[in-house]
Amino acid sequence: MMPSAPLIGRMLLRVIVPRADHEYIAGDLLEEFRLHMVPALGDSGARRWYLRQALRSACPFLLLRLRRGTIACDLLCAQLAVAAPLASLHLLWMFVLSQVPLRAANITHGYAVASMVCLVLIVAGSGFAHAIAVGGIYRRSIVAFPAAILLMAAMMISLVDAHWIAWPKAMLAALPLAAFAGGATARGLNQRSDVRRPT
Amino acid sequence: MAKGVSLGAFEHVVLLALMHLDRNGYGMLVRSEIQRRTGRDVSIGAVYATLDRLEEKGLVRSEIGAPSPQRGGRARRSFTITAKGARAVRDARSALARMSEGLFQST
Repeated sequence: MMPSAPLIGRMLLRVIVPRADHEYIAGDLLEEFRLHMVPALGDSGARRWYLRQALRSACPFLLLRLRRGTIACDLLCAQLAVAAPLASLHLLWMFVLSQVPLRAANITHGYAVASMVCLVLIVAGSGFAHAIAVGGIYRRSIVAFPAAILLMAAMMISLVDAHWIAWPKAMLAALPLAAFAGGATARGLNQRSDVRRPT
Repeated sequence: MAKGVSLGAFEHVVLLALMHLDRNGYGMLVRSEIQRRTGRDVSIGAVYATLDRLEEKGLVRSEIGAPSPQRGGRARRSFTITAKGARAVRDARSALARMSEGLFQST
């Protein structure tokens, strides 16, 4: 029976490797693991080698995903997964505060409106980043990057009096735009360096 | 003289490994070849990310091979250097040679 690669290493690869490339990369690692590492290092040594390869590959694969723009989709999901519980917590906190007479004064006017604007911007920002990624309009990253910074600054200024929980929401709104813009700009610079110029 | 495609140090190493492997270059072999010749233990992620970038630049091309039992029934992606890639390696090599001219003469 052929030895199998460690489960944690395989799961890590499944998470970090872009879906389109997973088959070849997992195949390459498994082949080297079975044909070379198990005879040379033994079962436990080969398993450690596999895990080390998976861990060391995390950074290059994340950068690869960022360069391809596919990470914008993942960021959208991650962002919504964080923003939805935060928004629920925020609403619950508002309700609790409204039931305590002495603390009711802490609720600033327009707090609920600011929170809703925050959520709408989170979704709109994600949608914008995703649309650029899917459409492949990389030049727009030049607009997306300052837009992300301006968005974050504007929200922080407007939420000065708001509860602390609004701050991470403001940052979350700008994160996908900034991350996507960074990746797309790097890609654009990379392509520009390939253009042949007469000297 | 026209300025060609700029190559990073690791891109250069990967292209040279592909030239050594001729038409049989896939991720695992490229990794082993680099380790064997340079002594650097590189990760499969670094090799694939570089190969992907080189393919985007048109310096290598890839094709999908047949699956095998050693690979758990998974297919193999083989990489071959293109004419543009070979030219980029040649240009980088001659640029390095010109830059090192007269620097390492034994006295």
